[in-house]
Parts: sequence; structure tokens; C-alpha cells
Amino acid sequence: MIFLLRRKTKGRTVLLVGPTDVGKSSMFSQIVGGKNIQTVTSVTPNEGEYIPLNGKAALSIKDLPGHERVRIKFWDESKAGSRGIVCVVDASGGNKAIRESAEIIYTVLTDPAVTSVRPNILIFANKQDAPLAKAITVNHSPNDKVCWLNIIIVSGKMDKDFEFAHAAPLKIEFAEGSCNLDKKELTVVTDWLDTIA
Amino acid sequence: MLDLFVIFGKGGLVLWCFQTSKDMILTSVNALIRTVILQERTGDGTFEHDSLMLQYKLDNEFELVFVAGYQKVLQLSYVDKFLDDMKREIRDRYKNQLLDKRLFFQGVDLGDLYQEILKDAEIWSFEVASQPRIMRKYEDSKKSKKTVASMIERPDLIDNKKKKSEKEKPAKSSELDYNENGDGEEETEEPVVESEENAFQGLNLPIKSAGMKGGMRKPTKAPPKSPKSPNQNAKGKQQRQWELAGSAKDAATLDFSKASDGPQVQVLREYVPDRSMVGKMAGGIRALEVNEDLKKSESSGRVMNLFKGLVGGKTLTLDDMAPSLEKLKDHLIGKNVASDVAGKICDSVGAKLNGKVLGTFQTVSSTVKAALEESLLTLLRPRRQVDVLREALEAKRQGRPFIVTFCGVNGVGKSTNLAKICFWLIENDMRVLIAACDTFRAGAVEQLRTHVRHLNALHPPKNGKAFVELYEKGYGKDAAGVAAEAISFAKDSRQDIVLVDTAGRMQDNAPLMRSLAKLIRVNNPDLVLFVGEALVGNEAVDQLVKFNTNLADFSDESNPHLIDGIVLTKFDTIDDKVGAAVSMAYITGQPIVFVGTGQTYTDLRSLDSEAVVSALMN
Repeated sequence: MIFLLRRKTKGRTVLLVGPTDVGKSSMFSQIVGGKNIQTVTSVTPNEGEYIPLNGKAALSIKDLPGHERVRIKFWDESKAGSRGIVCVVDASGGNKAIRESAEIIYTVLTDPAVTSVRPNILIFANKQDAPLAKAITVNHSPNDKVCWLNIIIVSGKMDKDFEFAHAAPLKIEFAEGSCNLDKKELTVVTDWLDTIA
Repeated sequence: MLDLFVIFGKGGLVLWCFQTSKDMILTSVNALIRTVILQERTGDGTFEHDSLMLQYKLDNEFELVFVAGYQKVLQLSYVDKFLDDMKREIRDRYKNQLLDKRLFFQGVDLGDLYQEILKDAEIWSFEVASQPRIMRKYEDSKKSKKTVASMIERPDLIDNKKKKSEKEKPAKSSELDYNENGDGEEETEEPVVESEENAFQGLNLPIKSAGMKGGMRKPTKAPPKSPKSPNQNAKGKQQRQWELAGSAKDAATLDFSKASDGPQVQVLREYVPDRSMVGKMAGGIRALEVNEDLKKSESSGRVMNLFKGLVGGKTLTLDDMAPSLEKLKDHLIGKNVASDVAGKICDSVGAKLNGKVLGTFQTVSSTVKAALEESLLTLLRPRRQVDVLREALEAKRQGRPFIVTFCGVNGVGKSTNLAKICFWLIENDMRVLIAACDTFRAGAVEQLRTHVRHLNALHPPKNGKAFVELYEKGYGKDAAGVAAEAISFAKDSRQDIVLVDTAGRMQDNAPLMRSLAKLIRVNNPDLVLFVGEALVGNEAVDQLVKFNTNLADFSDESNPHLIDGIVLTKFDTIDDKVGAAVSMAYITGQPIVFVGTGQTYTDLRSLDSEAVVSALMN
């Protein structure tokens, strides 16, 4: 009973987080259901199972609503004991959207529940099919910064640019894609899920 | 004809959708979700967006939402029944599959069912409309409920009654029985009458008849004559001697007048700054302190969570919840939440829980209380935590100053809290310009000038540039013009932030509202903060609604700049009656950005929603 209540080890849950309207529920429907269903703004989380292709045990995928009023509540409820976190970013949103995503990524990466359990993290730039989408460029400098994200992330408390090197012990990967009906571009996410299962 | 019909789960996945036009009607649905469900206004059932009227129903058992949309100009009466029927049909047919979520991925074709139920509903509405109107029975009418006593009119008391009813109308709810109203007014009549009679007694009223001079004067006795003391009378008046009096010798030490013989020059006393304040406000603002024993324990919840899923229990209906909702509503009103805001929040909680299945270990009242707490937390959750600093940095990077405007009614603490926020900003290394756009109230400019002096004494100028400067043009000038000049001055001298102080104004005063709207339209501030005091009760609703509508109406723009945030002041004067925070956050939907807890520069906090909710629910 006791270690059911105190889960400090990784479970089998993968969380989808991000601001509102980036496509988390669409991604959820495609990963869990295999189809891209029309979605509206979520009010409560979606939970489903994903069975990895390499035969490992099923992962429970949880899609948290992104609307600012409920985002923190559901994040606080679900953050303990997760195996992986996918931070979804709207790559076609412009500076303000990127800043909002950056704030969420900062909250995720500095949360004590995350730094203690150390789940795998994937930062996914969605909506690449939209015209003005920016792609992720990973700058392989010694600090391993990501160019466009780095300029925008200003930590609220310290006013310095946040570097991904600060989050060193966490395994962070980057990917991009889109949930568009015709192209099956979420294979990169499903591959990542297979690896962390 | 319905333009739109959607069934979707609360998680956002659409189960089935029917739309007659090809354009993005889902934007209306998203607007509905954001405005209504996420802001706890689910009580009503209808929502307007552009030209579309949306009616919705929640199915709390299976976590579904049914939305029907039609053109606002049509007034369809069958939509309510149609939604009910659809809800029932879906539940009957797909009960097993709905709990599973597989249904969303399989997809359902509800086209035929939809047409069938729609046609039934339309036919029903024709039948209802074609029936003649039934006359009310005598028992239903208002006349049967009047008492004889309340119908007797006394002419001298009519004026009192009218004044009383005007004052009492906003306070009393419309559900009050006429009987009660009559009784209540009768009770208060008597003391009024008595006091009036008493009031006439002391006066000496002249009476018409010319004969009696002085009229009905009460006989007054002649004052008794004091016995004369012979000695005193003989010598004449003597100067009275006081003990403890000084003599002329003391005059020199007691003279406090200034040596200068010119006109009185007001010498400003040296301001000795309280250095202990410096450095306390650097970084983000601290949250309100939580009373330790008010914090809930989390462990009990988790054990219950294990048992929750095991056993199925009863389904909640509105009747079950009504007593606990009433009690909670009264409790909220007792904590200074505005009465109709409390009513609407309780309705919304009722709508959200209606139809939900309880576990056997949960009681109705505890479920309702928990749901209410969650709604209040959602309402008060801060969205712009350190945003002011971050947005100011962003504006600095773009090379323009960040403009904040403070507005509110008289006497709520705009200038005081402006000074506190200014102190916080300069602690975080920002250069601030204060624009004194209160050109009406006597002493407003001097007040701000004193604050600027104090702040500059606390933070001496760096590199020759003062941290805080004041831009003022004296009294009587047009506030919008002063603000515009202040902003261009800030841009030229590369100030980071401009804080605009406006005059206090009542929400009913149309010309002043117009001038505020003009100030905001002309200067386009980044942040419009409404300053409200925590002591306000039902007035908060009136103030905020009228401020917002006036800002929208008088701005002549299609996208008017409304209130962006709230500053809650005088928070140290209320004990735990923190309801004003909830009323204000509910009315505007905007976050409470700052909380003022005193009159010194360090008395500035950010809102801790959990602390406020625990204080409310206790």
C-alpha cells in the first residue's frame, strides 16, 4: 500500500503538455486511435493506451488541457511518476505563442517532481504544415542550446536566458512534425515512445 | 433550422458534428468552451457568439457536451427539447461504449437519428404554439397572495415606503413573496414614524394666531440669581489668576515662529528614508501568507481516491444538491462575495455535477463542497504571475515604454498602490515615469511628487539618471493630453515604464467615463488595471460591469481595450472576508495582478488563490 501512494519511480504514463490550441488532443487521437479526429478545446484530460510496436508493455498516454485556467491544476495532479513528457509547441504561432510554450517548458523542466524522477522529455514542434512554421535547429555548441527557443525563454526569477545545459541530467530530445490527415508524420513521436517504453 | 450541432467529449475529441455551412463554425464552439465552461458560467444554457446563438447541455455522467447552434435572429423554442431528446437517445444507445472512449475512434454516424429527433422536436413546437393560451388559475396570481393589511394606503407614509423600497430593491432577490415584502415594510414603518414625531418636539413652531406671541413655547424658568459677594462688586473687575500659567519671561522659550520676517515659506522637513525597505521587493512579488492550519492535508484524499472507483453509487440530481448549494451560497455571501455572483457560481457548480455518479464513500455535501472549491480555484488562478516584469522587458527590447494605467472609483488607493508598484519596479532595476493625470483632485500632484522624492531617496540615482521621475502639468488640464505628452517624453528619455495615475470617478458619471475611455483610446496603454478595494461588497459588480461597458461604448472602436487586470487594495482591513476577490475575478474574467496590504512601500503581494479559497471555505 505504501509504495502505491509514494511513487518516486517512473510509471508507465506519458504526458502531453503545452499551451492551448497547439494540437495536443489531435496528437493524442492519432497516437492512441490511429486516426486524426476533429477536436475542440479540452476541458478535462484524455487518457488512452498506446501499445509500442516493439512488443513492450503498453504506455498510458495522458493529454492535459492547455487552457491557462486548468493547465496548472491538471499538471500538478499528473506530474508525479511520469515516464515521459512531450512538450508540444506551435511552430507556426509567432513570437508570443513561442514565448508561452517556453514558459511551460521552463515550468516543466524546473519542477521538482520532474527533476527528481527524471522522465524522458521530447520537445515537439507541431503544425509544420502551416506556412510560417519554424523548424527546430539544434545548435551543437558545447552548451547545446536551441537557437530560436533560447532567445525567447526568459526565466521569471532570474532574468537570464535559460540554457538547456542547466537541465543537464534530463534527457531532452527535439522533433518536429504535423498531425495533418494525409501525411503520417507522427512516426517520429511513436518511435520515441517505442524507445522509452 | 439548426446551423450547427456538435457532440464532443470534455477531453476535446469530437464525437459527431453536423454543420450546414462549410466555414469554421468550430471557432464558436471553442469560444463557448472558453467563456462559459472554463470560466464557471455554466448555469445559463445559452451563449451568443457573433450572429450565432448556441445552446448547450452537459452530460456529466459520460463527460459529454451537446451544443446546438442557430442564427440569433430566429427564436427557436424547440432546441431545448431537442437537446434533451438527443442526450437521452445517445445515452440509451451507446451507454456501454461511451465509458470506453473507443467510440470516439470508431466514429458514429448519427445523421439519421439527428434528422429524426429534429423533426420530432419541430413538430412538437408547432403543436405547442398552436395551442391557445391557458388562463392562470386564481391561486397562481399575485393578487391571492396579498394581505389586506398591506393594501391599505396611508398618505403620510407613502413617501417613506417609496424611499424604503428603492433602497431595498437591489438587495432583495426577486423571488421574495409579496407577502413578505409587505410585512417587512410594515415593521420598519413604526420606528420611522416615531422618530418623526420626536423630531418635531424640540422646535418652537410659531402658531397662526397673532395673539399669542412666541406660540407654544415651553415655560422656562428664570435662571436663579447668584448671590452677590460684596467685596468683588465694590472693587471692580479683577484679572483672573490661573495657577500653572507662565509669566512674560517664558514667552521667549515658547515662541516657535520662524525668524524670517518674509511670507511663510513652507520648509520641507528632511526625509529620512527607511533604509530597511531597500532590497525587500526585488524579484517577483511574494504571495499572500497562508495561515498554516488552514492548509488542507493531502494524504486523506489519496486513500479515498483508491476507493472511489470501486463502487457505483447514486446519481446526483439538482434537487439533491439544492440544500447544500443554498447553504454554500449563504456562506459565500457571508464572506462578502456579491450576492448574484455567489448565485451564479453555485448554479454553475450544480450544472457541472448534475447527473454525476457518486461513489458510496462520498456524501452529497462533500462532493458539492469539493466541486465549489475547484471552481473557485479555477476562477482565481493567476494567469499573469510575473508578466508585468516580463512584458516590460519585452517592450524595452522593442524600444518603447511599457504603459500601465490605473483607474477606479474615488478613494480606493490608486495613488498609494501606484507608488508601491513603482517601488517594486525600481527594485527590479527599471526606470519609471509617473504621469500625474489626476488633474482634478486637490493635492494629487503633490502627493505623487512626495512619493517620487521618497522613492528617489530610497534608490539614489544611478549613472546620473534618477530611477523615478514625475511628469505633471498641474491642475485643470485634459488628462488624455497630459498622458500623451508623458508617453512621448518617456520615449525620448528612454524610460522603461510609464505609470499613469487617473482621477477617481464614479461608474455612473458619463462624462468622466467618456474622458477615461478617451484617455485609453488615445494613448493605447499596454495594461489597464482597475483598482478596487477589498471592502466593497455588492458594489463591486456594479462598478466593474459599468466600467467595462463604458470603456467599450465610449471608445468608438471595434475592438475596445477593456480592463486587463485588477489590483485589490486594503486587503489588510478584511479579516477572512475575502469574497470581493472572487466577485471581481468572476465579473471581468481577468486576473488579480496585485494585492495591496498596507500603506508602506513593501505592502504589495500577489494573489495566492489557495490561501483565498481556504479562507473562503472555512
